[in-house]
Amino acid sequence: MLKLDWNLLFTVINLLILVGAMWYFLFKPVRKILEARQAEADRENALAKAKTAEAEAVKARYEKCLSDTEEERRQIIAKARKQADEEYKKIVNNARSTAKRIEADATEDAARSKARIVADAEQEIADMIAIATEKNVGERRGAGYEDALYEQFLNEVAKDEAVSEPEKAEGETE
Amino acid sequence: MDQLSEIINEELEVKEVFRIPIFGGIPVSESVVVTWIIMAVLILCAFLLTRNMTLHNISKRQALAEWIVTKLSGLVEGMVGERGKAFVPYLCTVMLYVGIANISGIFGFKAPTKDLNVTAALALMSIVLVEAAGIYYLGVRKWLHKFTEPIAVVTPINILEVFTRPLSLCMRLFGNVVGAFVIMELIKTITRNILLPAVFCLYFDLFDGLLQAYVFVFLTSLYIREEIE
Repeated sequence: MLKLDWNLLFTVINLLILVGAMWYFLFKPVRKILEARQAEADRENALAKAKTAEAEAVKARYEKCLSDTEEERRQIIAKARKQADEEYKKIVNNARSTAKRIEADATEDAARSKARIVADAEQEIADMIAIATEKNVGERRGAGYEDALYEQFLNEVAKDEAVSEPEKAEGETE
Repeated sequence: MDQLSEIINEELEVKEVFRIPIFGGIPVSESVVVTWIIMAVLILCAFLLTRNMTLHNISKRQALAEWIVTKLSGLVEGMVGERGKAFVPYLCTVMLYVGIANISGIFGFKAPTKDLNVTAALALMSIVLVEAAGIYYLGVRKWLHKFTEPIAVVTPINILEVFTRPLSLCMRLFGNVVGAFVIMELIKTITRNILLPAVFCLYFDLFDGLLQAYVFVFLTSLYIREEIE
């Protein structure tokens, strides 16, 4: 039990053989398979990483495009708002000037109408005064007055003709 | 009591199985023959488990082989460190061998680790491996210089360690296996029911046997790690 002999050497040899055999039959093939699987996993991992990076790039491009579109939309809206603002101001100004012109025309028409009305009224008043006066005078002088006026008119006309006939004869002589 | 002593002595006696007829006859002990049987079983299992291995759609057999190798390697790598990866197959094999050798008594064999030659051979191989690893990884100069660390005055103790380490490895394993065997024999003799020895058998034959295998490999790994780092 407690003596060392040849069996120590046998055990050493046995152990060396066992280690070699276990390496050859167990550890080597299993490690080979595990390494192959690891390599495959690494390859797939690298591929997945590459695809992830690619997807990230596409996403970044898409986001940039989206932000560009957003910027463009903002610019278009700002431009449209500016244009609409200008158009609004233009329309309001036009409306104001048109209103002013209409107001001025209306004022002028009103003034003209007023003047015409006043003139018409004056004329009417004058006519009424004349009629009233005539009526008044006629009533006062009677029908003989008109005849006298007629007579006076005829006399004046005859006087004028008499004056103008010698002058006409002198002219024919000459 | 004398009967018990006789039984224990008989069980601890390493019998000669046959003689190799050279140099006047070299005796081959029972422990060597049982070691051959263990070797045959281990190699056969390894061969059967790793036959027709595939990368995908693996069989249960292959899964078991991968599980054993991965778990054992992981356990030993954790003890021996990243630099000592090359020693992992050796340490795993020793763990399997010592583990099976310690529990071989359950299957009716005489445990090879009850023979001092086996534990001495294991310890000798371990220490040769430790020192060889030191020389390989550090170079002769640094390896020699390591004996003077941390201070020169401890050099004799460090040199002594070269011999005490394998001795302690050898004696620890041998003592534990023999001790467990003796205790089990005592329990079997003292008690008459079957339950108590069965419970103790679980501890002394199974748990302690596997624990000693782990301790042996753990200490060897620790020595290797100390030497190469």
